[in-house]
Amino acid sequence: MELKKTFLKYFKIFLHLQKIGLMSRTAYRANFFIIIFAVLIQASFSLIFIKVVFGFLNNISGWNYYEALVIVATYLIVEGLMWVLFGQFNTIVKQIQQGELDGLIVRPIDTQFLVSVWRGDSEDIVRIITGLGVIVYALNNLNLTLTQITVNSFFYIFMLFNALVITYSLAVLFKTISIWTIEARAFFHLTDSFSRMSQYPTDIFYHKIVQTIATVIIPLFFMATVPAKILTRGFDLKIVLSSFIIAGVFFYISRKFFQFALTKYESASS
Amino acid sequence: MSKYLLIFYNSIQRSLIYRFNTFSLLFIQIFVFGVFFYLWSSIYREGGQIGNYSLGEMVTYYFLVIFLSLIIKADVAWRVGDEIRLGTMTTILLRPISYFGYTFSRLAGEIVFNTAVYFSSFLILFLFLKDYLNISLNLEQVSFFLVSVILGTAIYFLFFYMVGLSTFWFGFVWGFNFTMSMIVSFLEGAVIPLDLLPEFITRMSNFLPFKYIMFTPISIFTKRTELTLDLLIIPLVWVIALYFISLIMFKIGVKKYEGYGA
Repeated sequence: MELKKTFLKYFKIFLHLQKIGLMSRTAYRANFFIIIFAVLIQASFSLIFIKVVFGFLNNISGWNYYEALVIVATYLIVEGLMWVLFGQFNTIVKQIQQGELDGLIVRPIDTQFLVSVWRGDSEDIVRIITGLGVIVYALNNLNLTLTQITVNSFFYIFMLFNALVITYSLAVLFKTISIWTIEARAFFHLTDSFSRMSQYPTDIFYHKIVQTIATVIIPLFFMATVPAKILTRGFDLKIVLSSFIIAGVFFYISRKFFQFALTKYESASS
Repeated sequence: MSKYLLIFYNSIQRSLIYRFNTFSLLFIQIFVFGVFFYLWSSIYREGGQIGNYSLGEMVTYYFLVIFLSLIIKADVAWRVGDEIRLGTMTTILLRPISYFGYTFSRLAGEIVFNTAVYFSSFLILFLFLKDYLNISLNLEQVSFFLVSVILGTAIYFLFFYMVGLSTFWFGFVWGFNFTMSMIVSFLEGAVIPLDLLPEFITRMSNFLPFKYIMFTPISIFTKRTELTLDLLIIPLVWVIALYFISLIMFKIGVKKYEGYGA
């Protein structure tokens, strides 16, 4: 009962902040629509890149064109969710620089939750829509039965969730460092680059050591390749379990790191 | 002149303060290059071929894209836009300096700093990768490349300076700047080499200045183009044209400037 009450409280706060976010983003209406256009262009570049490369090849490391499209689409969906739900966790950087984090810490709500959902970029929903559209297109062109698509999609949703947790945890880990460094433009580029590089199949890493790094240390493998693999090639117990473990471990580490970093926070405003 | 040298010098000093940022960006770009390196090598290992590019040419292409991006891509539009939007431009307008000269000197300082840091880092990276890169240079080619990079940097600066100046009319150009950055990165050849794209895009890019930012300097460096004077004269004409357009834009735009927020 208590848990349900807490969940509802946090959900209400989340919805309220999303509403405020949408209002502030649409305050400059022309700018809002221009950004939507820009996001669409950015998303289309990933697709054009794959189209051009596959204009010369039949497959990349065992992935055909439509399977590779599913990887790109998964990246677009995860990236879109990161922007819409958490604003890529960029709030913390700005709040620290302007000394505004104090205002969030003192509230009777979990600070990490509040920092995470403080800003959501609603225009990035077009990334998610584009990603979903590409998945439908790719699945239509892959040799899968309706039953296969249904079963695979069920597991895909879990893998997508894990990919989001991993991407979110990486953002928390890197951007929280700004508590020490204050200036942190590079951290935005860092997490953005990790996320962007997940749109290529991780089977391209033909050296064992690089493959291990891409699986365990910077888990690009689980950020787009794994969900796409499950959706296009079916359930694989080992991969699914690993995905849950990696997501759990990364979330735990990032949570602990955030809590530790807060104890070191020195307000820039006071 | 000395006042612009002082701005230039201050800009280098400021870059030194944010050296953590500089080295982080270097690490990030090396990571990105690493992924591209594996992408292309795995394709060519499996017997694939992209257009008429060899693996060495492809790896060298992206090596240079990343190197040039680190050096020339400053947030000019963002800064100019903020100075207009937040009214901080007033403090510069009240001084006996030109706003263009001030912005240019600041950027030049950053470019010199970036070149010093990134050139040495990429030289080390080059030693590790020399077997994979396709580099054999002669003096004429190096001279063409250097002039071409300077002209490309000038085009990039002038174009995004104008995007920033458009704040005089639009009030807030974050979205416009973002859109233009996306379009320019595609048309300059940073996403895919332009000669791999459909012919109508390649033909269209001939009428625009953007291919001189990346594609032309890299083509010179990798010997994928004949060294003719056109490669330098056309971007030079673009630089002159963009410079005069930016002067006119500033002259008209500054009349609309209200300096609120200052």
